[in-house]
Amino acid sequence: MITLVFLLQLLGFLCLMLAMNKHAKQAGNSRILTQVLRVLPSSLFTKLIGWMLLIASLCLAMASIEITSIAMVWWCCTLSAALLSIALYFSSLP
Amino acid sequence: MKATFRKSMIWLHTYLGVILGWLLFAIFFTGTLSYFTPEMTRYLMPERGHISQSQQSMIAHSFAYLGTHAGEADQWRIALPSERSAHWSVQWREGKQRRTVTFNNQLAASENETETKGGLFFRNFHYTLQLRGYGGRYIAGIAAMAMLLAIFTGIYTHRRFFKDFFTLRSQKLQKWTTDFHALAGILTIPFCIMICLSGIFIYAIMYLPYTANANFEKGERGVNSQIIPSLPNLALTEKVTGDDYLSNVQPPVPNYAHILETIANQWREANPIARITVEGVGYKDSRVIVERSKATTVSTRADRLVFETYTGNPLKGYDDETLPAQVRRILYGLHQANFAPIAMRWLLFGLGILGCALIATGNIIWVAQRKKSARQNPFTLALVEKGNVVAVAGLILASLSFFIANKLIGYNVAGRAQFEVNAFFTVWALSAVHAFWRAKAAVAWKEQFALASGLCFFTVVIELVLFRDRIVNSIENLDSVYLSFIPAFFISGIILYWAAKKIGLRIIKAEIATKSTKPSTCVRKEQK
Amino acid sequence: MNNNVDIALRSIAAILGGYAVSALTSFYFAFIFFHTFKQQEGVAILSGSMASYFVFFALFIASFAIKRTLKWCAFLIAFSAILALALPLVSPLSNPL
Repeated sequence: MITLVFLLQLLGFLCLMLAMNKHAKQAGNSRILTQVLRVLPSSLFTKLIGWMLLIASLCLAMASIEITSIAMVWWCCTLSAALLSIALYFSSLP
Repeated sequence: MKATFRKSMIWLHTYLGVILGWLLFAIFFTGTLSYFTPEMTRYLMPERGHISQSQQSMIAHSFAYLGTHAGEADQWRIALPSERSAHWSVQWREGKQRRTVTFNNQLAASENETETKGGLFFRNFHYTLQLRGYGGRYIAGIAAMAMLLAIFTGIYTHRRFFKDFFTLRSQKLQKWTTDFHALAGILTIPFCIMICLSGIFIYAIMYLPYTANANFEKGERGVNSQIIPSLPNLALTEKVTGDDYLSNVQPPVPNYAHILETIANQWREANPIARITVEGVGYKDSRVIVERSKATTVSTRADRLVFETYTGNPLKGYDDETLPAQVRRILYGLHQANFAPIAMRWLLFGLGILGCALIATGNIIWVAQRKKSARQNPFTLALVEKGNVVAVAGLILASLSFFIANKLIGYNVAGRAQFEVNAFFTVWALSAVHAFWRAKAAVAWKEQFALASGLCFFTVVIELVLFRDRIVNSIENLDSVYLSFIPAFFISGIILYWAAKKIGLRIIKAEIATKSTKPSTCVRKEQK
Repeated sequence: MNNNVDIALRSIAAILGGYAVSALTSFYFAFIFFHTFKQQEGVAILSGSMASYFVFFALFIASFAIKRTLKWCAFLIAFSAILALALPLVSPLSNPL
């Protein structure tokens, strides 16, 4: 379940990054991301999807872990891990 | 102070970082290591092997042992092992002396364990700084508040981060370091705020004791005795006889079977019990206090159930703590992260290492920027530049030396625990000598990282050569906690080697760059 | 004003002034928690202490953000004096003046 929370956060941050012009241009250097960009609607909508994915990850964490406070700690930890992963990925794009 | 609020905050961020960076790194690094305190203690004590006994059988055996050997004591304590600690012990007081007996998986009792501070050395260092009395706690509190201020001012410096994600520019080292500092800062905002705020609140009253002293004769102790719930005093008048409870058994045995049954209905997780205390041993109104493991609560105070010792009937127990006290306990619990399962523990460790890297890169950036601008007093610049090496690389070397000293000093050597601590500080001091002796800081960095890498691999080799039996036993018993240290040191060695190599390449590049800017003598001769 | 003197004054204001004011406000917070929230003395003292750290934080930041250092120092001294003089009104908790 935590892995799923992490994946949702990854996708959420990916959408938020792609919604920014600066990073959308970088995404042009990646074949996968170019395909993703074609599918995604306008920048505003992509931002909205990104935030909704992050909220969904929070809801999933709180629903799947019995103790709320431990769920929050998990969510915050995976959030940092997801943000680091996305930042490192975009840094590796030329 | 500066033209705008933002510029003032940047100035404040810089100076908080430069003045307290070394102290903060030491606290953060040893604190991050402390996430694995019981695991490290287990690694450093060869007799602590994996324990696979059930809690029921451990409790039965403990009570049998205490009944035989500690019948006259008035308090018994049983500490059950967790997955992390593998430490099963019983404790009682004989007159003024406290006796502790440890059991292993084969139920063998021992009063002699390896004399070492173990993982507790790093944990205690990070809030006492190895100072006597409470001095270290005050300094750690100042550092925690300074870190909070540095986080706030740092956020304000980059307050547009919600609009612009950070990536790492790999072309220039200085830009990469600045980007990494910003990225690490953002990633660790919730973590660092939680750690620093909870760090301050653990000793909230100690740092501001004036209200406590004005209202209570005993000051903070008086406050604690009011806010921390306690059980009523025991009368301890009538002794228990064999006729009363369990048939003709002398000394009378606590009715732990009934207690365990009651507990199994309320605490449903596997291995729920952490500790058992028996007060008033041998008396009718004796009570058993059973403490739950911290796996199901973030707070530093786990549930406790109280029972009559010889009947097993439940008693009233502790009152709930008030909300402010609970808030403090929850923050304390978040700080220690005793609740964290292994995966979360590694994530928190990773965040801690990021926090250390944040502090270290901050100081490195300061030096690099001042070198470029050439406006800094050369003495302070050299001091900070070399001091960074000692604070970061020196501390890593010292920590590794602690582990190596533990492995190499003989089991029977008297005072071995102090030798391990001495090794830590001696190596740290030698690192300072080396850093200031080396003309170029970059060379000092490279050499110390290379040595640290070597020490990591050396630790692996020592383990494989000197502790082969323990490794074989651990593989048989699937003692993953102990075994995981070997790959952990190996990987740390690789990372440190990679860092040393990178620095080495930069030194070579810098030398080539300086040589190529000097006009060559051959060209001059031709021009003549 | 000389830059170094300015920084020194701001630092003293932030560290000593901030600490003094937050120590004094801890009495007032404890008083508020004791009467408004009807907490026990010990609990009110704990709550008051925890709340005072935010005061220290704010004063520290303010000491480096304000434009006029001398005015700020004067304000802190005056404020501390008022808080100290009015202290008997709120301390000890169970029987102030």
